[in-house]
Amino acid sequence: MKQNPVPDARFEAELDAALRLAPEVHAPRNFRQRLMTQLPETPAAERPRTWQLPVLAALVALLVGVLAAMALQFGLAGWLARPSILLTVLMIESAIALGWLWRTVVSR
Amino acid sequence: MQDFEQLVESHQDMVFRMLARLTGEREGLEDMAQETFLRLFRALPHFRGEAQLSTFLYRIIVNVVNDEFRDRKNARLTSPIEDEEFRGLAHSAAGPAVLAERAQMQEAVEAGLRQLTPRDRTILTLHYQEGRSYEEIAAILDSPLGTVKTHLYRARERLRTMMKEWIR
Repeated sequence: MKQNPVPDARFEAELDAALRLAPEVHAPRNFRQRLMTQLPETPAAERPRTWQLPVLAALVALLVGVLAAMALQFGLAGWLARPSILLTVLMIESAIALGWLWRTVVSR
Repeated sequence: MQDFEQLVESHQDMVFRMLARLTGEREGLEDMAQETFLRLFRALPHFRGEAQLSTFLYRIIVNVVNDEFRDRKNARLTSPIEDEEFRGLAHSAAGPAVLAERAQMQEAVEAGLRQLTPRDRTILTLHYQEGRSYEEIAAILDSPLGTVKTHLYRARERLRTMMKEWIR
């Protein structure tokens, strides 16, 4: 049982106010000066890793190719020729594509 | 270099404020703040101004805190001592008149935030304390807008439920 219940609207307002109120914390004195002594002379630019993406793409393509060849070997073509299976695969692909579209384009 | 010094000067309090709320701690923030600015300094050559610098900095803060959590191997960042404090606060605050006091409420919210997941705490802090919009939070966390809205709503509900239970 509630004792002297706090009215909801007031509670909500107090909760929002408390969330908005930042903690009383400040940077210590001389923080900036201490930090500046730690910095290198110039920001070290990271070496570009331009080779990584093409190599990764090639490996993925190779893996997909091997899997596709194996699947065809085990009769994937015949299995896909069945209308119900083909329809199911297409629906799954469409759902994934729509999900991706929503995540990357619409909801941003 | 001078520009960077000015940048530190103008953002250092915000960095400490964010770190304080995201970790729930007041001490030992300097190392994390230093790491934040060092990462910013290293990343500046790659900053192409596609986002606001503050968005970029918030993202670094969130990453630094996440790394700290990972290092401590304690995703909730709550210790048994903090849990004890939390329970103590819940019981001592049984009188709603006391809870209504702003300072008490503030303390209660701080304790409540520590019980949330780091992601929920981050979203609530960015939205309420830092006044970031949904779009900015989505950019900082690299999350879809809808996800941010949902998380924000749920996080506030969790906190509210927690607080309501305290005043029962």
